[in-house]
Amino acid sequence: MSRKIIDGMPAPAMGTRLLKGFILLLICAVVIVPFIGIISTSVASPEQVNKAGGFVLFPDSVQWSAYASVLSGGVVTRSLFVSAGITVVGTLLSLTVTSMLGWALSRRSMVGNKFMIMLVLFSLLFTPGMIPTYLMVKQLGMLDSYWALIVPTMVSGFNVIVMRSFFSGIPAELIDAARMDGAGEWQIFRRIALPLSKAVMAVIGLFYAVGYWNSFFNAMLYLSDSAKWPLQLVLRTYVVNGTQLGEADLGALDAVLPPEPSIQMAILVIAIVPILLVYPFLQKHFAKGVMTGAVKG
Amino acid sequence: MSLTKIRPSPPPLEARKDLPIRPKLSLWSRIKRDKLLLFFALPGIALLLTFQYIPLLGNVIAFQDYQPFLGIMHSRWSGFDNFSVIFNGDPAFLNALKNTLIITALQAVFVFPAPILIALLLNSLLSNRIRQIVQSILYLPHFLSWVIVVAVFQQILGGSGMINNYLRANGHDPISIIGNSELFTTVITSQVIWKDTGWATILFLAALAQIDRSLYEASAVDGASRWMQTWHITLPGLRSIIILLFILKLGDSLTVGFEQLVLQQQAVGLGVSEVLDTYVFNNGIIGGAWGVAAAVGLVKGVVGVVLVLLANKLAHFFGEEGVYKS
Amino acid sequence: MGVIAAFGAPLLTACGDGGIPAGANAGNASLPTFVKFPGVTADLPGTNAGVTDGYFTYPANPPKTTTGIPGDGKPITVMMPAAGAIPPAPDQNAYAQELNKRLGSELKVAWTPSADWSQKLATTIAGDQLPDVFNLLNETPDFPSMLEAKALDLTPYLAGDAIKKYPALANIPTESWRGAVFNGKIFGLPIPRGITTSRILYRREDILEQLGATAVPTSFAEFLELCETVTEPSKNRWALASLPMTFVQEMYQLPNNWSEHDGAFSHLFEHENMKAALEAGRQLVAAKVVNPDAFASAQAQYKKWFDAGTAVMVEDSLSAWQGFQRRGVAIPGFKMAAHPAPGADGGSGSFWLGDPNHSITAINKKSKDRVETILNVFNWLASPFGTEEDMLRQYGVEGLDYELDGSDPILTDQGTLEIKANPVYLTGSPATLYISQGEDAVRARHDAEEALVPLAVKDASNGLYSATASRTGAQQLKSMEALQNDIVQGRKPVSAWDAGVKDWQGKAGDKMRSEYEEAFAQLKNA
Repeated sequence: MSRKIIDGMPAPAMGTRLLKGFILLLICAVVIVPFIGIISTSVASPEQVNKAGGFVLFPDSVQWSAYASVLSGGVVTRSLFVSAGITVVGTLLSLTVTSMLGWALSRRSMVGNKFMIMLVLFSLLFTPGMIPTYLMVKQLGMLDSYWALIVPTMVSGFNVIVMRSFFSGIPAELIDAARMDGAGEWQIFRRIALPLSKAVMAVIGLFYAVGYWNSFFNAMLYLSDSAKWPLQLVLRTYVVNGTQLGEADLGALDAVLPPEPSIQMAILVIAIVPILLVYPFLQKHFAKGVMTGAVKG
Repeated sequence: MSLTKIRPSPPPLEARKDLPIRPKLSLWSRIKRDKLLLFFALPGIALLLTFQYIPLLGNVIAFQDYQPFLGIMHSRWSGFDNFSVIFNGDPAFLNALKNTLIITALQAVFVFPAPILIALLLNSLLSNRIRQIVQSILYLPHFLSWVIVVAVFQQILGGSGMINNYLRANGHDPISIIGNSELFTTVITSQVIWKDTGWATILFLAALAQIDRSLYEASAVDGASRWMQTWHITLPGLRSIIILLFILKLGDSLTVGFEQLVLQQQAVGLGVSEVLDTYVFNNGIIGGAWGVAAAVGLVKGVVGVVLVLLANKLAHFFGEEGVYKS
Repeated sequence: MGVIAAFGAPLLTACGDGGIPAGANAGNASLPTFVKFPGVTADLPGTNAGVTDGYFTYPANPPKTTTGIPGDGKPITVMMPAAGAIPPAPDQNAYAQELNKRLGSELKVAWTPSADWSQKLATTIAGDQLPDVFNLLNETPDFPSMLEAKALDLTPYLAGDAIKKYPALANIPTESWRGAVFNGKIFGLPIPRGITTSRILYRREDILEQLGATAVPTSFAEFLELCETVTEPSKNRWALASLPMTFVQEMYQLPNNWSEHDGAFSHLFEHENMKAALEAGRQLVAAKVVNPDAFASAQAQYKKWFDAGTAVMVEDSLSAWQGFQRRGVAIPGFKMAAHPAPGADGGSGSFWLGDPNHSITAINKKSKDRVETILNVFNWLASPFGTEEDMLRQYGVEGLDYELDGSDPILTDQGTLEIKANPVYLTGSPATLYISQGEDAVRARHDAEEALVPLAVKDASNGLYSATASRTGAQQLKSMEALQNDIVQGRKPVSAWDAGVKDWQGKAGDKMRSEYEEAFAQLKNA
């Protein structure tokens, strides 16, 4: 075989590469154009946005007044810090609990294994009502506390099942060998399971982080003090508010104005940027080329 | 009834761990043996019990005319009244069920495989840099709420949206996409693909990362082409996660994007856009019928359990692990 | 961008502003006496029939009308929907600080995005966490029983002449108080809106002038013709932002939701002209004079199309007038007007009055020992237009939140941000007409009101309670809305309406009718 081999794969032919490049370019364009619109609208002049009926793809001029308006008064800034804190603490706790449970469930010999898997699986299929959950949170004294934004959603059954499935791929021989060397359960988890599962840890971590970052509903239910609100709930008051107040009240009073498109778009951008900044750091963990030993299949 | 009933003598203690088949131990001693593993499972299970299963008991309101100001203790018991919204055989309900199944089927065929294809495509790229940039772009739409996605689609594809304004200004006929009942399922499927494909790719990329590179190297030495590698190494490496996700998705088949649909129903009519969740919302929950919401949740849960267990059995039949293996 | 969409514009505006449409009034005996507040004189005085008091400028040197401090020094906890973006917290909000200082009791507000209001209220009730004061944006099923269980009966404090202790509350019109009475008891304070919740058809006069189409149509045929004349899709311009179904139904003299004749109730849906109105709606859609994205959008988007000139006419509430004017300042040549609906075949149409209240606010049963303090605070907050208290409440602190231009307060950037803390959904004074864009703008709307009000038609079910309406009314309305949508968009024939009405009568309509008739008879005999 005379073809060059890169990274274990034969180099593709030129034609294939061009075709792939074209397809990717097309897909990216479809995704990115609306985002350009969102960013453009956020920096366009109110006159232009008004003339265009609310959405601008190419701004005539760039102005930051929408951002200045969103960031003035400190509400959004404060909520950014709240969201960041909840996301970091929540993700760390979630990853710890999820990986421990996933690991235990991947050990088929464990007593009660099947029962617990069912417990996790069924938690995906039956959702408890909003009111009983609220009463539980209240009973635990977590109303108006940041813990109410973390603890009730700390474990996702889906993530546990996915993690367990990845752990199950770790060859039993590796575990047995470690045990022969005198390693306890804790060491096996730390020295074998976790290092071999960096990719899935990064992904599940991202799932949790984005879950915490995006959630607003629990904060709406559990936090009465709006000074404690996370970013997404504040954002919600800009984006979907007014709907239930009735048309008659939109614009009737100085305090009740329909939201300006550029401000809505600016706050969207503000909410997405932090997660965008984190992504590259996680991404490298699920880049290809991680040596994992063996995988069944 | 064998005549030579041989009872295996217990192996010496130090050798026991290496034996694949272990003698049956009493429950207590198994608990003692696995106490560390059980300790691992404890926090997660405790959280699930506290925030899923105990509140789930509140679903008894499915059999009540529940009112928050009365509470469970004082609300009127109503038997199976709340279930009538889905078991009354109303043509509108049957239409909603039909639409739900159509949309679920479309999503299984078009939405589910999309991230797998994208993951394979990304995986086959030579440049790490390009791969990372593309990936970062594709996962962006996940962060937009449905309200925004629907609005963005309309601003671009709507009857007075950018494309049609351009067409009209240049003397062409406008094309009717948004608000066209015939294209509705296509539009909402495209929206889901646009919003979540990039995000769903991530999990498959993680699975790809677990595949041993040496398998590729060995096969390349043996002269395998890229297509053969994809077929014989990559796809088998993804198989178990694909099956797992598909089974979990099945459990959700009666749930199709409520928020996404409710935002777009008016323009296309309920004939094509009413699904189970919107039907239940429009015919019960909208008037504050909490019991109806709980009743429908229970029915959907039971259907989900049946589908997931059946699918899992089927997976076992084909020698796959599925969600769990007994 | 029309991201405000939720469930689209309600086509059949039975209670189209999300307010509480009905109270179960068991007799006028329990209503508070109306005592007009001797405030400033209006430049264009309103009428008892409903025309709003109009002011060209904010009155100079607004007088202080309360004495002392209404609060008791202890905070009052409050739950209400946020009107928009939430305000800066009180520690960073000069407006909130000043307001709390003047009230003498800090308002500790738990804001909730209005889109999530019903969930928040339900969990708060279930968890027994209601604050001292809470808004009731939407009616819950079995509303009177819920109020009996959770809200304080205010009858002893407010009924009859008792209200005179709170002169600003006594200034709230009787029509508004009716919406706060259930089971014959006053369970809340209205947030009055007068006639401003009614829907009207706005016209961009500047565009119509350019197109030479300023004539006011006098029949449906002329209206359709006007729409066709001004629609020019290649220029991205349509006559109508949305299908103005209220306007069309007014042309056909249809009842405003329920009508009453000799104690017998009948509904808009059942009226003989309903199908003619549907046919008219269908014709407007078929003539392609409505923005093609109208049915996929909501009111906030319609407003933007009107501002942009993409729509020449838009149906919106009367209260939207100020907003259009305010934004119109930035639009060269902007000029708008509104006229009543003409009769479909000539003559005059009607004018459907909206709900006189936005919503009501209740006081927690458990806060009974502080009720007088709370009512004093409410009285302060309800100080009418043109008082020093109102100026502070609406505009904040001079020099920080607003600057005076003549006697007109102009909000500063800081003010725009801070007055979001204005507790607009607690209580308020009667609606007034004041537009800082000057005399002409005020006159234009005053003239429109004077033309509209003589044609006013009330919803006969206002102030009456129907258990069926409260339970399944919203659902049934939803399915009729869907049917109407299918018909006007040509997916179903107009003749499909009859079957829909039969279904509606069987499921809810007939029960609602008899409940309203009974409530009406009781009220009459009381």
